[in-house]
Amino acid sequence: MVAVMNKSLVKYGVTVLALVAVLVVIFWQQFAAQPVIPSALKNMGGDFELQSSQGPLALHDFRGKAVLIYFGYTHCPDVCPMALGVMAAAMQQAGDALKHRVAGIFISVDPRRDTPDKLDQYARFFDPRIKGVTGTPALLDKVAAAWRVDYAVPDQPADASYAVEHSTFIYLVNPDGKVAGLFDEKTSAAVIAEQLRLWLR
Amino acid sequence: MKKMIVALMLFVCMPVAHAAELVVSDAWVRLPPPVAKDTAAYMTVENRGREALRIVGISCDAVDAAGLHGMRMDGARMMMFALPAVDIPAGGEAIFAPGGSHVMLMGLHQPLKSGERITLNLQLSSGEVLPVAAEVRDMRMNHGHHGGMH
Ligand SMILES: [Cu+2]
Repeated sequence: MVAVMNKSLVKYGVTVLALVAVLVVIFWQQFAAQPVIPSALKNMGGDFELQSSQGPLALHDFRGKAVLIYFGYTHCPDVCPMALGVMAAAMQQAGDALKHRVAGIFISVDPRRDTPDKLDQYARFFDPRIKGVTGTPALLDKVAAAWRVDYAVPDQPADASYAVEHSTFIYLVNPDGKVAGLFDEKTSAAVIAEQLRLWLR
Repeated sequence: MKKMIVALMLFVCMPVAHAAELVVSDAWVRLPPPVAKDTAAYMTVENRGREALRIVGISCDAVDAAGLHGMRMDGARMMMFALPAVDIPAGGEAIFAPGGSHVMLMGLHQPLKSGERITLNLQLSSGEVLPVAAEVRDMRMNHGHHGGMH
């Protein structure tokens, strides 16, 4: 009788221990594991210094923050405002606690029409934490190559209403300044907000 | 000669598609940042008639120039192009939506306000013009957890 009781106690104990172990693993994965940068993104990105309305602005100025970056132009009627809207919503959904640890950069590849002042007004419409920057065509070419951005501005446009072709990635840069995620204007803000939180915990 | 007469008869007998058979729904204009002069408008155009319809252009008094644009990927690049016309088969519809075909509005005469309505004039191949009231929408707060835009 005593032996039987002990046996079931041991069984019970083992079950409880196993359950605790599973919970610890889940907890570890949820709250402690470092997110991993997908290997496809490892050779992409890098520091840059471009011009904002407040003067030079470099990516390294944002160390310690999770940054969303988009390359586009202000005359873009559709995809750029969609992307900036998603970025702003993701930054807002990341939560109040991370308010000062998320940022955005809108890089115009159309410096002929987009002055730093215009970019500042354009970007702040979506969220004042998104900074608008641009640079000389030569510098933009260099940054675009490092960031695998594909774009084309017409050399001799017929008038001032020309369109610019450009790739439509939203980059997530982690607090170490590395590209850690790639989205686009169709990604839900909640998905990006979750990634911002992961990199900032 | 006989062929020509048949063709001519077909032409004469062919009923002309009317604007009355077009039903436009969910027409709206994206509120751009005040500093921007260009934006896009969207809508669904349904053809409830028994004949195919063709939209050949669009105009808008609030801007310098309006046009129908398509969108396609060229490698990794998104590019816009002018649509010379948009055909809508009988019983079909044409959808202008974010990220796809849109009404391009270039050179706004004055900044738009959320909630205001502007008129877009759809030009049909029949020569008819169909005015459409499009509401200006501020999309900034429309990125909820469903990730949708309505
Ligand atoms: Cu367009």
